[in-house]
Amino acid sequence: MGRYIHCLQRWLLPLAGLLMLWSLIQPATVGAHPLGNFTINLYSRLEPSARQIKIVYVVDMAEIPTFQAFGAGMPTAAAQAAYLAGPASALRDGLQLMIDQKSVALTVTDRALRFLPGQGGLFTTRIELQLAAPAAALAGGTQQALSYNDHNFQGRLGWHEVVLRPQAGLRVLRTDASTVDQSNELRTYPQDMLTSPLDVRAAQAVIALGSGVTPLAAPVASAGAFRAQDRFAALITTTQWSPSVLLVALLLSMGLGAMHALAPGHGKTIVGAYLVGARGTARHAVFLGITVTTTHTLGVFVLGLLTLYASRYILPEQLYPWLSVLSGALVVIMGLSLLRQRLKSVWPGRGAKEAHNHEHELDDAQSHGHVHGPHTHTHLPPSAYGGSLTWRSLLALGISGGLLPCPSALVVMLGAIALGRIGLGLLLIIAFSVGLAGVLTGIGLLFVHGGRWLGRLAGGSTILRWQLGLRLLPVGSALIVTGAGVLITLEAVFQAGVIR
Amino acid sequence: MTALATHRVSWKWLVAFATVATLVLVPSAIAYWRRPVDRPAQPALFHPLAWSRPGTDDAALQTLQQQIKAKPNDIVAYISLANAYLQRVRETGDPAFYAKTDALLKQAAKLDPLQPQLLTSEGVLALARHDFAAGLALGKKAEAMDSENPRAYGVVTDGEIEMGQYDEAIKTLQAMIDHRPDFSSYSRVAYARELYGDPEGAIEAMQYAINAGGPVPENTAWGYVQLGNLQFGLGHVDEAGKQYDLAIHARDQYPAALAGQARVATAKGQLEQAATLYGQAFDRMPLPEYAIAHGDVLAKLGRQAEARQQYDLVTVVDKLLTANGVNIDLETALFFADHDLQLPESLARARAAYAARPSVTAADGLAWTLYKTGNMQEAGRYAHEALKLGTRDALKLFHAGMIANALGQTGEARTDLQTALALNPNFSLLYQDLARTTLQGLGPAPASTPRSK
Amino acid sequence: MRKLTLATFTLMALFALVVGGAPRQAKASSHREAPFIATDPQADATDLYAFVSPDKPDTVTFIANYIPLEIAAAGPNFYKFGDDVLYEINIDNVGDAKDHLTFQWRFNSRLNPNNPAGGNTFLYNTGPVNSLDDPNLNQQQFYSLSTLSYQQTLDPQRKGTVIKDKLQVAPANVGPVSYPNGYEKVAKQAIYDVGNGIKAFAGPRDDPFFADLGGIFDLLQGIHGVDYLKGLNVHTLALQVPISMLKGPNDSIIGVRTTSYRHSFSVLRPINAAAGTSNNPGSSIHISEGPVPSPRTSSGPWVQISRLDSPLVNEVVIPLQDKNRWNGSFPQNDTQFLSYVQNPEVAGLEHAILGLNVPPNPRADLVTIFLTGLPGLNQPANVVPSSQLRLNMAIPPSPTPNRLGVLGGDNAGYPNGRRLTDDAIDISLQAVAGATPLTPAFDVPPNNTVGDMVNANDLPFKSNFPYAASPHDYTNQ
Repeated sequence: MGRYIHCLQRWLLPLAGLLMLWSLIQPATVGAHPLGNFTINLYSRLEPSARQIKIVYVVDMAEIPTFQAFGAGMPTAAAQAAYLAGPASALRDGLQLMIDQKSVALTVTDRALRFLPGQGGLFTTRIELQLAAPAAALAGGTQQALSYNDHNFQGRLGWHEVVLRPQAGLRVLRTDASTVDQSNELRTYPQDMLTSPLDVRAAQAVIALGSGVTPLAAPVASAGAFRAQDRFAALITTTQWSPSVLLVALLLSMGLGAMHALAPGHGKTIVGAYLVGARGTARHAVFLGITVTTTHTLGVFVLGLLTLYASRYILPEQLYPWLSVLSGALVVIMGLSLLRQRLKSVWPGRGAKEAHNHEHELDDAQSHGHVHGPHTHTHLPPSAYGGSLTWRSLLALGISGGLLPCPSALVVMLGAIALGRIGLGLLLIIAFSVGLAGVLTGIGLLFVHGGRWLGRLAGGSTILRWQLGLRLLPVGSALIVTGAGVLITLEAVFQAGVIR
Repeated sequence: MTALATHRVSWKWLVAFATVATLVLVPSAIAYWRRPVDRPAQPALFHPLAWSRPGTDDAALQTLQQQIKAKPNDIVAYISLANAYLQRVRETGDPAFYAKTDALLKQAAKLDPLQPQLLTSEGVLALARHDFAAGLALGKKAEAMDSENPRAYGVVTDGEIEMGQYDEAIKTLQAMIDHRPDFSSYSRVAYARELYGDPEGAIEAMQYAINAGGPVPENTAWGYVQLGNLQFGLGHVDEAGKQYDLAIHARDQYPAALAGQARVATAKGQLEQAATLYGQAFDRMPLPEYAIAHGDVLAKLGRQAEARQQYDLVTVVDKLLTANGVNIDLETALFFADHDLQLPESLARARAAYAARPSVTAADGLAWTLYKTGNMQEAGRYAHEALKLGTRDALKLFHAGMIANALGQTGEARTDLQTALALNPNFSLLYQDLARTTLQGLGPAPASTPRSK
Repeated sequence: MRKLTLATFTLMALFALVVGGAPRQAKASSHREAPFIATDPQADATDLYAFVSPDKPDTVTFIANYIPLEIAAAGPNFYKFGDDVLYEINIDNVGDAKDHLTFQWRFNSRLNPNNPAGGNTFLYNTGPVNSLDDPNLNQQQFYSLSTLSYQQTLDPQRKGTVIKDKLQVAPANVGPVSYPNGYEKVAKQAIYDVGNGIKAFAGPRDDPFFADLGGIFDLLQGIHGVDYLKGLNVHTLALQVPISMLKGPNDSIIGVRTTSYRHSFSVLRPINAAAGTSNNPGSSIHISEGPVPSPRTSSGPWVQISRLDSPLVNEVVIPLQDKNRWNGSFPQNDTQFLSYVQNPEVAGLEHAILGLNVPPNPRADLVTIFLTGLPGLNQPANVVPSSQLRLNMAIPPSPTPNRLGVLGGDNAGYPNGRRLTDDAIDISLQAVAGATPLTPAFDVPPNNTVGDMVNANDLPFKSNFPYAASPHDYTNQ
């Protein structure tokens, strides 16, 4: 029985570790804009009360209609004011409200215009109108028939929603309108594959005075908008700078960099796998982080400059997959050499001494450090088990992790050059890279300590075999490094169009 | 603990780890490359979809959506809804449905990754996204699994044509129509004939397609638009107008038909009306080609600022497409070349497009961008390649003629330009006058000028 | 500014490549691509009926219905038969799975030359219509009816012997205002005596099929007795033929199918057919002056694109992935579908969902019912197993037809031929449940009581040819 338990322990822990590592390699999907870039989305909320009928009307114009209305760039204050007074207010004429079959005049009581950064350096427009119509006196026991129709932007594609929300003291006897706000005033569009964009432009309702009826609760309107967008890239276009704004921007950059590091495929796997295998220390993790930061920052600059000044000769978009190939190949090579080194450390082979305890093995493994090349290089102090860590391999790892510049960082860089804010751009990118490296380092440290914890678990007086099992962890992680490298390379090669 | 024992234990562990690593890595890698090894049993054959009215109206979509919600293991329902979504994109141009289609097909792939209908739909999606190589591969896979599936033949045909594999495409298409003559195969025959310089035969085949079509109005409208385009290409402006009207009749405000009517208006000199129609077409489906044509009409009207706004719009759409991961297309390269914008980029993009899909269309685009960037020798080569099937297309012939002229091949230039203008005197608002003046500049043909090879 | 555009431009390209691995949300692409439609309603058969005519027992009536689920308010483009489609009813009177006698329809539409609008309108009718040749009936369709011998069916051109030409199709039932004297008065004129005692009719009719399709196809679970075909029309090809003409050399048993065909043709036309051009790659291009009349090159073979015989075989027995194979198949090769008949999925459903105890697979009883015919009733001597609607013409029509046909003790009904009143769904469900004399152990309740609770058509049938009810118009759909 005990044998079984040992067996279980022996298998389960390493297996769990490997699975965890694998889950980090898995590609994740990147969200895209829920609705097309050319949609004009309309939202009306009817709020009948005893005295008046209020309408909240929101128009969300995606990038292309915004461009058609305003051209490129953020419209000037004058242009905005003109639009608000003109076309935005004219939207009222496209709205038709009838009470008991009679058209009633709508007055615009409030209006607002906002521009939100969209894709491709473009903007999207959000128009918010509040309209009101006086309701004819509604005596107790009588009813009113409301009929509403939105005729704006006929023929253009988009999300069209009409919501009915009666106010206190009013009862809805029957209606074909929804009382549920599905898009949170056009802020979040349901992305479920089983829902088609809503296309409701009209609503009918019969209302009457009613007591004791609880009006439906209004949803908590959130301040921000939630379009998918590149928030880092948007930072560079901020027009007003003060020290506090700068501070916030830098912090935000770091945060975004950190988030970027958590996006799939960002070397963290490799870092983790490497460190856990190498029994690295915190110093290694930090060194690795610095390397990644530096490489990443430099990479952004080099690629950015290339984009600006050498695109005549080579298109960076063609270069990109090759960088990925290079990065992947680097990882494969590293993984293979690690594997070789660690296999030797675990199973010394013919050339090694026949009898030795595990400490001797470590020495032995260390002596095989030359697999990295014929040059002399600094050896790190031997770690507790398994292989050793060389500064050189750490450097290579850091470079491969930072070699592929984050596209948003590139946007910032190019934007900065185009806008003549190079210093600012540099600061932002460095902050971004620091954030990125911070997370990578953190993950590395997690693995370092995780590895130690495993080691301590095995360390006591239990069984040598268990320790030996643990010692094989490095081999597994070397395999993973290699595997990850192969995947990266393959994907990059496919992307480069070499193999089709 | 003896040294020997240690040694033996290490061995065991090594094997154990290698096994574990293999067990984890290999299936994961296989999953990663989506090459499933197992094929689960076919789910319910007893299927309502065999009866349901085909269509992509909201009610039809809702029925399918509910069906999936009720029976999440029904692969046929997933595929049917995905197909309906793909048709929806044709109708609305709303790319949001591509993402939804993708999600559905991924879900279906979890049920049975090798279902031939699923592979076919994946192929259709890849083609729609202009990933022709992937579409072709998927189509071939589907065809191999189900040789009686005409849709798979269609995917393969489309892929082969876009990849410039014309002999293969004709063979596949012949097999397709011999298996099942219907709208799908007839309309593809029409395109093949058009490419091979037989627009009259193309018109005939497209008429067959329309007769066999139904009951999806967009498909019929599409067929009429193709007929209109073929007639227009032959210089039959009025006949083309009739076909575009029929398309509008089949589907109200069909953008491609609006653009066709704009083309007819342009040929008749009704530029104001053409501008309005192009604007309407773009508002309904923001294809760069509508903005380009709109800009050209405005420029001709002397409204330069408005024209420039349309051209900027082209750049914006292009930017957004690129940001959305769309294959950079020939269209933009030609647009840049035609308007002398960003010529080096234009050339690079045309080269990339030709490398990705070496079709005659891509060769034509590359030839013209090479001409615009002053690489005449190379341009001549590709211009020849663009016409290697004998395509009778005035714009392609004009390109070839101008290039021949630049190369000093006067006889060829004269023949090509004459042919282009004879075929369709209204072939291009930008170039038809240039074609005429260039031709005049070449002087009359000598008594007999055999076209040099 | 130019720099900025360039920069953002390139950037976006980079972006695209980096995000490339993720699912792409793509553009509305320029639709050079042709669509993919699998449907071809004009060539899609819905049901086939064959029965000894109750009012003329020396004849057999065939009814083949096409164009599924026609809605009545279909204007302005009313349904019609396909001019490019070849329709056939194929008869095997030997039992060797070959078409020894085939009736064939070829259609041809035109705008009425006598219409006052003079061909300048696409309106279906320009005023009230009181007869088939009424000038107000603007859209007309005609057909020729031919017979083919077995030899003639082997030729891909499928040319037969014309029995009668220029027969007119009954018009669409546009509505009561268009037919002030009643639609049936006009439609009756489309019943033709074409000689040799043969009667023919082609035109829209009420869909005689009745079934709770929704419930049945929802894994049998949603049955609640709603006729999903109520109010819908089909296009009917009806034919009444003397038994003497149909009888084979051995016995009175015939196998019946209906098939439809479209033209295939060469993808690239022969060089001389293309207008004055040479198709030689790389050669120079010469264009003849002006438009060249395009010769119709529909000389390719007719390709079978639809096949129907016994009810529900296509819908229920043949799985979805084999539908194309089925529609293009010939009876001689039907053994390829044998395992579907022997191991019917419906039986599994009846067992799993209705809790029925069904006969074990492989089902020899179903092979008899679907592929060979019942011995002593409608199985020809030396039968080659194949899916056909088999009718023993020697069995006289029943004065009181039972909707369950043979299962209801009425040998004049399905699966011995099929009458309009036969409840094909209930008979099939019970047969698959084993409730037939072939497997008496299972011919017990509840197996012999299963059904869809829709037992009759929404409209009564007529007592003489073409029997099917008048088509619905928009007022009674």
